[in-house]
Amino acid sequence: MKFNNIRYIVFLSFLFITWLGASAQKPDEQITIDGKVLDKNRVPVPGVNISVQESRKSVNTAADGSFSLRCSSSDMIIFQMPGYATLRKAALELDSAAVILTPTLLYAGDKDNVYIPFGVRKKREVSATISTLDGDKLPQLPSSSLNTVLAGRLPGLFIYQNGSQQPGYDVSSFLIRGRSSYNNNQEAVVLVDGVQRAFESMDPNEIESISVLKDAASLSWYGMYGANGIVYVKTKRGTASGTKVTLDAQGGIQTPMRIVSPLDSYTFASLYNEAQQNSGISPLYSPETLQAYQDPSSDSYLYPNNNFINSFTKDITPVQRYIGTISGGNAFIRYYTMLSFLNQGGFYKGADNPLYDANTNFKRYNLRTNIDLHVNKSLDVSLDVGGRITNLRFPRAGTANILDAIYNTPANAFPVLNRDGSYGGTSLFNSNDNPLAMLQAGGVSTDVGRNLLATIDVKQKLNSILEGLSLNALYSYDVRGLFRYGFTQSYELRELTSGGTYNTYGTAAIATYASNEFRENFRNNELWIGFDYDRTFGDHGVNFSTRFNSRVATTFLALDEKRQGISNRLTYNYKQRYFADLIGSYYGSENFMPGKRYGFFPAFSAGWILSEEQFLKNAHFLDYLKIRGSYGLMGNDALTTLSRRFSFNTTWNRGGTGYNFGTSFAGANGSTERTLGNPDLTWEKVTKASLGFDSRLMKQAVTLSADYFYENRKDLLTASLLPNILGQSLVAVNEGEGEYRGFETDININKKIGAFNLNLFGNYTYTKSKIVAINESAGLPAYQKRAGQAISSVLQSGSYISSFLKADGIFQTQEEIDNAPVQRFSGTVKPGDIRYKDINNDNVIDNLDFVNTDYNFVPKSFYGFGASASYKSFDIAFLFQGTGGRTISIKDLINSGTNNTGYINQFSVNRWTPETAATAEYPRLLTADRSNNTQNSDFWLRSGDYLRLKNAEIGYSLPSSVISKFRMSSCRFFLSGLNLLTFDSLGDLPLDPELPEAGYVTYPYMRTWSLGVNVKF
Amino acid sequence: MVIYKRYIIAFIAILLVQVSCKKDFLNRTPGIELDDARVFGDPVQAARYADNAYNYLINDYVRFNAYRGSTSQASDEAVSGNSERTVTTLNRGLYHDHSTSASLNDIGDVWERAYQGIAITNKMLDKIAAVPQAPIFPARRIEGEMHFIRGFLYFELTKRFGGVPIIDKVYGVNDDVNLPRNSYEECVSFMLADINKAIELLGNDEDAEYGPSNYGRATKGAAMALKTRALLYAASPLNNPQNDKTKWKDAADAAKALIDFAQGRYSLQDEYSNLLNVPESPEYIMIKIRGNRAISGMFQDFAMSPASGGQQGQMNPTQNHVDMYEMKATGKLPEESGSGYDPQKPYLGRDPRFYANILYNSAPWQGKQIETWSQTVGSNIFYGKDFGNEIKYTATRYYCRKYWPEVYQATGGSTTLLNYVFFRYAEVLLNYAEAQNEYLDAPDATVYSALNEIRKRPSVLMPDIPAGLNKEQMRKAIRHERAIELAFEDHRWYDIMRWKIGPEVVAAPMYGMDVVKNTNGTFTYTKVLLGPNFQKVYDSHQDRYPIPRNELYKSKGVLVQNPGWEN
Repeated sequence: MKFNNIRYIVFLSFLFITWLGASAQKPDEQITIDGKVLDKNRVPVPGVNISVQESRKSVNTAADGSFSLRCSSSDMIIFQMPGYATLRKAALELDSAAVILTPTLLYAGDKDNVYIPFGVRKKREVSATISTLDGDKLPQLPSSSLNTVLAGRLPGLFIYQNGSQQPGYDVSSFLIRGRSSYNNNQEAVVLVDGVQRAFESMDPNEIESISVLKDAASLSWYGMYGANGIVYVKTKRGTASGTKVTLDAQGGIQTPMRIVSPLDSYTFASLYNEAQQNSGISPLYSPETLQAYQDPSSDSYLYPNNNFINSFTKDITPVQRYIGTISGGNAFIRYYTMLSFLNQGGFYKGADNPLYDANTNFKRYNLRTNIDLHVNKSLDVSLDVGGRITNLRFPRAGTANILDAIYNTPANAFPVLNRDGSYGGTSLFNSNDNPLAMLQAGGVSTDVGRNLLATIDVKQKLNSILEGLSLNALYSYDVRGLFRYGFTQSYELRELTSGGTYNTYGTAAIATYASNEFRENFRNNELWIGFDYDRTFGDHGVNFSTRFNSRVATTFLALDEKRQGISNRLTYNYKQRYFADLIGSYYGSENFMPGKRYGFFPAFSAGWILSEEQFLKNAHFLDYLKIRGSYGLMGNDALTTLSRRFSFNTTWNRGGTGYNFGTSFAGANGSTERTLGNPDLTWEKVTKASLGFDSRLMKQAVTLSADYFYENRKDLLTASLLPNILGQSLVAVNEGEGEYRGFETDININKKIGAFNLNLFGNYTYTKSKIVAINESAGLPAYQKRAGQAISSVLQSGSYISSFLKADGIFQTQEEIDNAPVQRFSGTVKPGDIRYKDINNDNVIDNLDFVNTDYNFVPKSFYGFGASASYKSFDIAFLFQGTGGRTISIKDLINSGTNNTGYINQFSVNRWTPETAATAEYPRLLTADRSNNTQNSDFWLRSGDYLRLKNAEIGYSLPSSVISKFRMSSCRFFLSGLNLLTFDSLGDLPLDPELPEAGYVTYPYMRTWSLGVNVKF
Repeated sequence: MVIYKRYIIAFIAILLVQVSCKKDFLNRTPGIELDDARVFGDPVQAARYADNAYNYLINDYVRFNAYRGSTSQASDEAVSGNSERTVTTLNRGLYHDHSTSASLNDIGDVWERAYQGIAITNKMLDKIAAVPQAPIFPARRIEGEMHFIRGFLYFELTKRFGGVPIIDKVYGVNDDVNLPRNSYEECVSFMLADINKAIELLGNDEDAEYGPSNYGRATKGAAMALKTRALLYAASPLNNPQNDKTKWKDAADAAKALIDFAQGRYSLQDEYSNLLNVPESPEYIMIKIRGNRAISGMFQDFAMSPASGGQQGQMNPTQNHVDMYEMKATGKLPEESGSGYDPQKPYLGRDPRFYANILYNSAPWQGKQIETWSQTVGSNIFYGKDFGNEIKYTATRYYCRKYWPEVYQATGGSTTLLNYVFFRYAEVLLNYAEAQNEYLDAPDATVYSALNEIRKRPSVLMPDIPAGLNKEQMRKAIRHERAIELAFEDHRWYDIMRWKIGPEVVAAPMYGMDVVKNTNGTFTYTKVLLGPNFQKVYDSHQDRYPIPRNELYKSKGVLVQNPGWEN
């Protein structure tokens, strides 16, 4: 049967069942409930508070546990008693049977829920390693990416910015614990409500909790795609309590943290001349010109001295965010609904004309409605709908081009406007670049994104077949579309020649509507269907879940991607003290040869609460201690290193480069064989082991957890070592292996002294990775091999580099050069050039002196710590985040580009000259024959370690005497900030350690301040 | 409740159906993809596959790093004005770096490219019998073409590396292909077998499988031309250290056979200056057919002067090369006494091929003149439009006219042909003269007539070679004629290697010209030594390229490196 048909049948079945259930419901009527409250040993519990939700009605149980309550048939009844778990029951379900209250154990309370894949457990029951952050602990920040506010909050989760920080982008990546593959497929999977979905553009107010699944016990469920770890997000749901309304309004400012400081015309021109002279070329700028650059009274059209940064960027950009939520419910329906709006301004100046404003701007609307229907005693249906609308506006010339023109055009390049009012330009530099023209007359683009995320989730209890059994089905339908529209416009640049006439570049054209561009269309469907069995037999608790899963992801112009599998989990506990889980999943991937598609991924975990054993009962300092461990196998079928899908087949290309015959020069296409397929391709096999403990000490004031972890990954894709004389190459072979190990720890201290509440927290993760096997040429010198080195390496202009020359300072005298080994990278080596070490002692410095190193952009350790405190109406919170053992490269920042737009820049001031030999930081300037000084070497490496006050927040809540007049339940004003303080070891280098390209190559990294108010009704 | 249960059962049924059809769910074998059987079962696809082998020939002059370096700049013909890395690695003897630097380099990439082409020819020869008969798939011609291309690629490999591993069949992924090098002699006999087979199977332009729409294909003549070149290289000092005269005899015979075959077919074109720019020519034995070239890329970034719209005028002929053009009146070199050369009018009365190959100060060009002068007035320095103190201008005061058709200028964006000539008739004459001279004890009349035929080209009309030269004098004359006639045509560098003259001509000081404009408008010319960036090293081990280091590493000791390149 085709998948499409099933999808509709399933969907219709859901609807029909829902309708059936709804029609079976009885109308409201007043009823009287008489009952009895017992504990699990069937002893009556007196003094239990029984209340009716959304009313003031409440009664207490008598000494024999009995009660009598009059209420409506649609009411929800709440049973509350200290020491026992709160119980909610629909009035209609309170038949004559006794109400059983269960005593709460430590970490088994109402607030101790841990969301595991397709299940919920109390914290004490979990033997997997899962770190959870409650949504309400997220700082309230007007940020277009949630990633920025998550950094440093959870042990084992490293979030790093690795791309444009332009509004609406904020590109960052997750790393869970470490990397064990050198291939480009390390991204953790993000699941929102169990479905693979984008997460960073959610609003923090949508989020109930964020869990990081890190070990075999939690990840084996996902079989072939869980190996990189999973970030599991639960959205907020309504509770059967009174209707709650919240309103939030925030306004803030963003300021660039580090940004280029350009050279003035005189400095640029003199450095340029120096570079020319060093290269044996006579100076470009005459002494008269230099003089004119220095003289403020000289003609600014002939001798411009621009500061493009000041002229075209703002110091402050605005940002706003508004959120409204309504939630509530009763016994039969619960709902949570949210609408939010974010508006983030761009930092360009002078980007408007009468027709449009081309300054970057990002607007986002998030909406979500989660509805839970309790159709009848045995049927629950949830229907979640989320939506997102994003409008990202930016100059049509493109952010990268504009930033390049602003950052890299020398101050003397041209007057922004010529004497005749036309835009200035020059052929010496990029002849199409004039920042003003690009912003004002270059058109504008707007990317409009529309997302719809819908999930239906049905739970049918099957107690009539088997007590504790239920059938569960979840189906999701997500669509995303993106198109671009705007205005196109072009401009003409004019350059005054010595003859008094103008050279022109480009042609001016008035603004017209740009044709709409269809950019993206994506659909993702997931189906999870199966059974749960949940039952307690005396001291034995058993829980079994099984789910069949299939996913279809479709994007235009490509064959849709599919996968499927079955996940199973068996949980057993004895006396709520000994826990064991068996997980096994069977998954298949389309990426492999038929017959080699499916794999089985088992895992085992166990936990033991030692503190409840007799021998520790008397250890009063220790309130709780659980040890737990897990071991298991996962897979990773994301073979992104391969050049094509279905690489297990060798296929032919019918559109290859043709060869022309005949003088018409119109050749037919060639048929070419693609790289040879590898029929034995398989998934990466990942073994994870984790051992750790959770504890609570000092009268429950201190919570401490720690984990040791180890991961090994086999069958990594690596290049095949076939000699080129075969004339063909193989896509790749599964012959690599990598591993990492380390530990993570997490501490939390809560203290309440009178009205003063204090919470201190911290986490620390250390990992060390190693390449165990990689296909490298056998004859490679040992010091150039990657095997044995750390996985990953230094990020330099978009690629990863691990091979460096060892620099040995700068040559100071010709004598030093004469006595040193010959450096063969440039024609001449002179004082002021970088000196390299002769690694192989052949007295020549060449390619054989590169050494493979452990330098790494992935930190060896990462940590976060912070505190929150409240006293009466005031509260304060902050978080520091930092890394250790991380390396960044500044080579491209200092060295790239051309002599006209690039490497003669602010850093050139510190170049080597005979006069500044002692203090020079960089080699001498050259315009030609620069190869010696632009090699990859450790000369350009710097420590990327930093400690950053990531965010801080201070708040004041109005006293209840004031707010009750306005029927509010709370009203809080707050001031919050992001990226407030940074400590690093970069000295006076004007770079951000976290994102060195920001503010130099890409959009600057922003500091944010915001003032907000939060009102609850 | 009863209805209800039915739905539950239906539900479970759906689940089971879903699970049971999972086999189909992941079966994604894309029907649109071609496989082996479909390619060789279809004469159209099979013919296209065979044609694709042509793409692996070495088929452009300026090929290093896409279009930024040529072998001319490695030799004594020219320098790279902006010290392009793919050129400087050769200039400085850093061949290992060259083999791994930017694309289309002459070592690693040629090794890989040649073997890729060889694999295609091997596969096509293996499958040729399986392809259904059809007019679009002329099996005989295609078989000849495959042998020609395979032979040609082995020639390109041996010309650079000496003996290489011979791959003569289709290897599978799991076969052991870690093969040792065959000797140079084995490679030559293998390629000769291929070439002879090609001569036997291939037709000519007048044959049915050829005709205008197939112009550019390998012909019998092309295979014969390849044979003369292959035998000439095999007889050359580098590959024939014992100076076995029979090898020269073979080379001379092959050239003679082609000269005879050429009657009525191939002849020298009257005009020398547009030899690379015409669609067809009687002189062409085989060219790479290619449409008009856009100005962007090689022209703009390599050949053209910035004053004409170029970005990087980095193809700069050396004074060393310029000094090799004889005086037209006397047939003597400028340095020889009585040549009639005036050092202050250095470009007057030279071999007409000078004006076709070189752009010099005051050369008329694009309706203006080339200006590569400088002039100092007080503290100010002024420059002619084609020269300046930036590296985008010429380093020697010369640009290369052969690589820069006049129509390419700043405005207009004209396009024209710039062919890659695999073989032209003048080379056959030169090959013959060289082989015959080396075979004989003293040059005979056929040697003179071959050389003089070239010098008598109507647009050249240089005086005849002086009579009564002995063998050594004639060798010098032949080598000199070859350097001028085939200048910048991808020959000189490999000729230097096979003649083993690199230490004398490449490691020699590289000169440029200093052109100063005087206040009265005249020019003062001074021959100057170029800067250290442009000086070259050449040791005798450079006569052969190193086997790409990465291939050696992979071979676990099976491949043996050429002498002098061991690390």
